[in-house]
Amino acid sequence: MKQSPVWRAKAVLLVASLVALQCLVRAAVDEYSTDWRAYQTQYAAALKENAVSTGTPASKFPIELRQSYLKHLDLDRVDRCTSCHVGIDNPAFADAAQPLRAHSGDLLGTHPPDRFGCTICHEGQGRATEKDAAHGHVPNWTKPLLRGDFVQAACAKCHRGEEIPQAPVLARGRRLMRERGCTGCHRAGDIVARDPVGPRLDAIGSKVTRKWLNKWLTNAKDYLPKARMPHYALTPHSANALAAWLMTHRNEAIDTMPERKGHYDAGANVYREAQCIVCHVTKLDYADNPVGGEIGPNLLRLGNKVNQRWLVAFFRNPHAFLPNTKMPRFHFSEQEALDLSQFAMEEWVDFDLLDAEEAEPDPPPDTPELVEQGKRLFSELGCAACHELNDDITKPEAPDLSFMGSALVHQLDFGEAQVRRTLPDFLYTKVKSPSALRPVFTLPPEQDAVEVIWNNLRPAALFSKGADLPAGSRSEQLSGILSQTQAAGFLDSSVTLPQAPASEQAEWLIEQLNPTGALDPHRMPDFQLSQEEAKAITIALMSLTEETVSSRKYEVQATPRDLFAPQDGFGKLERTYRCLSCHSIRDSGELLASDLTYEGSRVNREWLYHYLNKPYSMRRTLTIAMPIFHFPDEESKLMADYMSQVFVDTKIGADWERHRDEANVERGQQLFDEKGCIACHQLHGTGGDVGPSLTTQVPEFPHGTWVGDKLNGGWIYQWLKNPQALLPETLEPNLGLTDQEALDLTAFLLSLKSPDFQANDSEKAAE
Amino acid sequence: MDAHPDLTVSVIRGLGWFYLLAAVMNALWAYRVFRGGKYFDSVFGIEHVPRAATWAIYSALLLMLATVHLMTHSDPGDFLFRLPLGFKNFVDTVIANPISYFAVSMLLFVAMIWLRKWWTRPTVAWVLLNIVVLFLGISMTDYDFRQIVGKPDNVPIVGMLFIVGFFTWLYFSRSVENDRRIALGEPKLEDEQSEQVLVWPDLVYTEMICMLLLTALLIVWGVALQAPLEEPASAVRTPNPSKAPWYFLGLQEMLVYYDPWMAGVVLPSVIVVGLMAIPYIDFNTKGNGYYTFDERKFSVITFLFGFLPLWVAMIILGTFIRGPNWNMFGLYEYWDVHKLQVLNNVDLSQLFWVDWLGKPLPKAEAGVGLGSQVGTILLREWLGFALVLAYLFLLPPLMAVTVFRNFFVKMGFVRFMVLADLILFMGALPLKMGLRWAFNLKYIVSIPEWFFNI
Amino acid sequence: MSVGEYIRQSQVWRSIFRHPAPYDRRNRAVVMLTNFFLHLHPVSVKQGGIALSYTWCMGGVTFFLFLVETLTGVLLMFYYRPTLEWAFQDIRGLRDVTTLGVMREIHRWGAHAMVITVWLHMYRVFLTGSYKPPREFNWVVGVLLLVLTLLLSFTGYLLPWDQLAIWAITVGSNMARATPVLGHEGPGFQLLNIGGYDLITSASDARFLLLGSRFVGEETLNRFYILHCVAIPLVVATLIAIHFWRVRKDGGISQPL
Repeated sequence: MKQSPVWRAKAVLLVASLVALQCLVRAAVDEYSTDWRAYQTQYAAALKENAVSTGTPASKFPIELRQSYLKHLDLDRVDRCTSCHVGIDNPAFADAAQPLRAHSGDLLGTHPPDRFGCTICHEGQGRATEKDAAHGHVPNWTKPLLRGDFVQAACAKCHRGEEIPQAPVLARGRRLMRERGCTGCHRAGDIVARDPVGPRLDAIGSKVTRKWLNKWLTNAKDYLPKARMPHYALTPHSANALAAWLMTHRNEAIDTMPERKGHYDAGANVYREAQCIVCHVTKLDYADNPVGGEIGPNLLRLGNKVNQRWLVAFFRNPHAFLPNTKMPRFHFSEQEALDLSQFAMEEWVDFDLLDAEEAEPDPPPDTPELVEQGKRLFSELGCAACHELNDDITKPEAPDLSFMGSALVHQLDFGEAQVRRTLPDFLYTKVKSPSALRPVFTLPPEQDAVEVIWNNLRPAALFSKGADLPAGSRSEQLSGILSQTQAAGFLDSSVTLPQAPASEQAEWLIEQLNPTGALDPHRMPDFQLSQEEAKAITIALMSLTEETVSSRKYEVQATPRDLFAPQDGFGKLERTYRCLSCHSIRDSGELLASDLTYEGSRVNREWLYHYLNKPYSMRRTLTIAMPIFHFPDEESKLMADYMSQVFVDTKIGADWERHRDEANVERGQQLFDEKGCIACHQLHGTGGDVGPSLTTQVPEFPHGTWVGDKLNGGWIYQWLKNPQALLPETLEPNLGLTDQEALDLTAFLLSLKSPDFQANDSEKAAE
Repeated sequence: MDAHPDLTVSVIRGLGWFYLLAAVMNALWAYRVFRGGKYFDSVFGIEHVPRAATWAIYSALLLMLATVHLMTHSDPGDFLFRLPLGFKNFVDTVIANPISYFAVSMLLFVAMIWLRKWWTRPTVAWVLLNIVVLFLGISMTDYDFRQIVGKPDNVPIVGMLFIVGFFTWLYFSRSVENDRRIALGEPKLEDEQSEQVLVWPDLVYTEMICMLLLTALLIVWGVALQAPLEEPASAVRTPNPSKAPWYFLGLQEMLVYYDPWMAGVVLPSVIVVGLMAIPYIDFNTKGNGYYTFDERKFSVITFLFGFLPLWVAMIILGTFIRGPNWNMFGLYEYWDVHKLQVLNNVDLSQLFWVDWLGKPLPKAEAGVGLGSQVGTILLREWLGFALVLAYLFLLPPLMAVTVFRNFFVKMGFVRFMVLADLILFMGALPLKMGLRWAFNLKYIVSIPEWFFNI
Repeated sequence: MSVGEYIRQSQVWRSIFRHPAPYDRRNRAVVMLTNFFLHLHPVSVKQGGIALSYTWCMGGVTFFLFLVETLTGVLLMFYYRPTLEWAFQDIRGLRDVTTLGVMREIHRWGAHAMVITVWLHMYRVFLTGSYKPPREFNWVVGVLLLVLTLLLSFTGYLLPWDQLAIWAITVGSNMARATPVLGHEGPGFQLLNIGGYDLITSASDARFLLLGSRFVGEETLNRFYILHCVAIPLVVATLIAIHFWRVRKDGGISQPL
């Protein structure tokens, strides 16, 4: 029997044992030497160096795994982030390198990590203890770390439907989604726009010129750089068809109005009285910068766009055309409206454009077929999402975005786009330039090539979706498609189908059409957003997740705002004059002009009544003032009565009324001089320009305009005590007056009454 | 920025080490060949060149390749060594098509048996190994290839392919040698070591060494490569593709061609029963305890056919090639969820009644009795039934009197019928594949009313 | 007297190891006969039968992997809780914070390796014709062990309770729905009915038996856990014992006859 030398086997056994032992030791060392241990050692060393400044003795700092265990708080998470980010709440590490750096901002104060953890805002994988896994940059973790502004997307998990100041980008994104019409096509959770974002198109044919409409549809930005309408990349043919159909929507009353001319100069006067410039850009300054408000559209090229007759009708009653406009209804007489329209047509016109348009040949008359194509385009492009029309056109259906933030990356179609395969990148690209995600069209196998081409032609290329495929053999159908795409301007009219079997012809056609972008089942237009806008919308979309915080305790509902909606006679007037387009009342409306919530406490009723009839500018430096509405007398009375009775706070007048007898005018005047009020306010023509003049002179105003004529004593008293309590942003300093000082000063200011008017007053009293 | 870079610095460095390893392997091989002492008579006029020179040059080339990969500072985007697009497209086209994929695997299978004397020669085998190693290395320059091969669960499968390949080579090389010796009447390889040895130390030490090395391997493997752990289970989020555990992907592949009751229940049962039946139907007494091919050609070919193209190749297909929507994707192809692959398959009854006879499918009137309904269904599917029954019951006797005559005589009726039906079941998968590809055939018998589709 | 010799002479040592040191032929044979762990082996074998290029060592490796899986599996059972709430978190914890968490990786990779080696073992046994008489029955036992190995791996696949797990098990167990007669979407399930009431529904068919539920849920997790940790290992251990015993009884390890 043969025998192998045992010593060799033993040697091999020894080596094998050592290898196995080595592996075991390595495994143990590997398990022990974690990243967080290294970071905490580093942190402890840093603590030792700055022992004085931090107050934590380094020796008391244990090196251990740290976690926020939030199971008992229903948040269902264990966040071990602080094992590495160990200096998160230590202000001494505000400038340290990551991962030791302290949390920026003061959010940790309201969201203590031991209560909320980290991942509820930042996402990532809280349980993991290695960098990439914890930050979620590993396959199979669907929620990677949110950084920078993107963290705001997570705010919406708890702060439902509420705009919080700490998340301005999110708020902007949500607002943009409403304003830019995203919600016209898409459902997007709690982001809902109340009204369609585009104007009604009922009378569009009577309103605009055909040439303008063609240009607008081809590229709206050409006419108005800030146009909100997205870009559809229509071919001239498609734009013409769409315009042809839109022009059939006319208003008979306007069309039958007589053609009349107004007076330019009189119109200019109306323009000044109506203060159009408050809301509209109406002129350019010496450096060609637009001047005017941005509430309404830029009017500089109005004359190139609209018909004068429509303009007259619009000036008479804008709400009949645009029910949701912010524009007030002025009491223009027919002549005034005509004059103003004359002014508009002559003043706000781009003559170069006008000449160019006139030089263009008139397009051939619209055929019924063209109109029909336009109608189909209107519905296929989804115009109805933003524009209301009397015709029965259904709104387009687009993907529901209500849970977009929870979408999985592999479900997204990136096409050939060269972007990172992440959800934010997808959303940003889709929002910023939708066509970048267009897949290069390839023919799916085993399907009817002709039908596939037909069904995937972009609506703007053909009018295909609603139309039937032309009949005939495959080749005939293909050549039908070819000629239609040629007619639509996508392909040069000289090319013809090659002589080949139908399948090869189909492939040839796809090759021809692919570079033109005509083959695209996607319908989203290009909103031409800026990078910031696209980012904001991306964040808003990311905030739409299906993740809800499991405990109601953490959910913060939006506090329902008590929206002010006046009723009765005043309400009706408000809706006519759209006061809230400029003023605010109890958190409703805009902040363009003064807040009217306590206007009744502020000014006396008589002054208000006269002011409504004939507003004037309080400060010399301001060029913008309230428009002159020419309210009928009963309306002025009603508004003045209502405001002085309803827009009051009884507390404001109380102290003054109780102690007014103790006030002394002379002491007040002394105080006025001592406190240096004159530095900002004018008194009898001398003084500063920072605050309003106290003795404003407005000739021909039927009521006194000095401070004592206008303001109520209670208001002045309260104002002097604490101006910021009444108007937080005011420049008026809080002088810290005593009660007596304030009483005296109030008495002095109240004594400042216009002498001219006092005569009237006494006359009136005599009556 | 390229979202899916084919090459990154770390990939290039990794490949550098990979090529370095290949260079070392080939240098050792060159040394081995040099020790063998064989010479070319004349190469380019130089006489008496050692054969090892070829390998030395090759190793040097690999070393240069490794050096370039390890030392380069060029931008990964400009790095030269990468797969040409044409090659990628070619491979993708071949791999992502079930017909060519199966054809290639069959071709390899036939070549493996046909050319066994050639490819078991050490030099040829070494060249083949080098080709595979180079293929793997150069393929790593493709992003999508790395994604699929580098998935933690797929790493053992890549390893398995090498091991299966190696053992298959070992088998063939030993059997070729044995067959040669048997033909010459010499003692077999196994007979050369026929003396008895003591288990202690000869076997026990081997076992212990083996255990220790395995322990070391498992620890290294466990530390170096994390076992797969995906996101927490969610019953509402179906991953696309949803795959069974990798060792069942052969069965899942059968689902493409057969309904679950066949692919998931009947065929697996047949596989298990068939495996158990092997010792009882193999009447060949030769080849017991030694490697041979010539002495048991039929049983080895059948078994290898079942194991290699029908099991291992299907696992490769299921693991590396089946992607979202169970579509096939080339090795270098992005797993695009939106890849379209619409199949319009038709049933045999449809083909027979509608396409060939030009009649509508027989359909039972509403409200007729059960018997009449059954009758209509049988009438509709009679051709399919006839074919299936003929396949299972008519074909075996036919085989018995023709090609399998010898078998039948030696085995007796029962054993032969079991053998024949097992082979027919095994053939059912490639047969159905062929029918699907040739005629777009969906079901031979299609009775959705009874969930009975074949 | 050297220290080694002193230890070997002691009463304690000799009470444990009945045999003298295996330094000569006789004692090497005695070792094999008296040691419980070694007596599985014969005293001597044919040299060709244990050559690695002949046996590939795959059966032994499979058995060793079974032992590794048992050891690591028991360690994992100390930590892991098979409930919906904890299953995934515990596995996650093994990776992130648990001492000896690498056991999970070894267990998983060992399981993959075991599936491969058991196939290769069968491959080798077939290719050497070692199933031929007298070893037919042991081949059958081997096939059963192969099936059970796959089932062990399959049941273990679910336990991490991640997406990979539940969907792989869902795909795998969906087939049971189509079991002829016994699956509610299988051919012939209508045959089992009493008075028009189907006995086989989604809540009483083969799949339900497997999952303990209509879908892969907590019942399934529990069922698979018990199958994986108790039921199948017991059967496998028994069959392994039979397998080894039959190797000895059917003529020793495979070798040229």
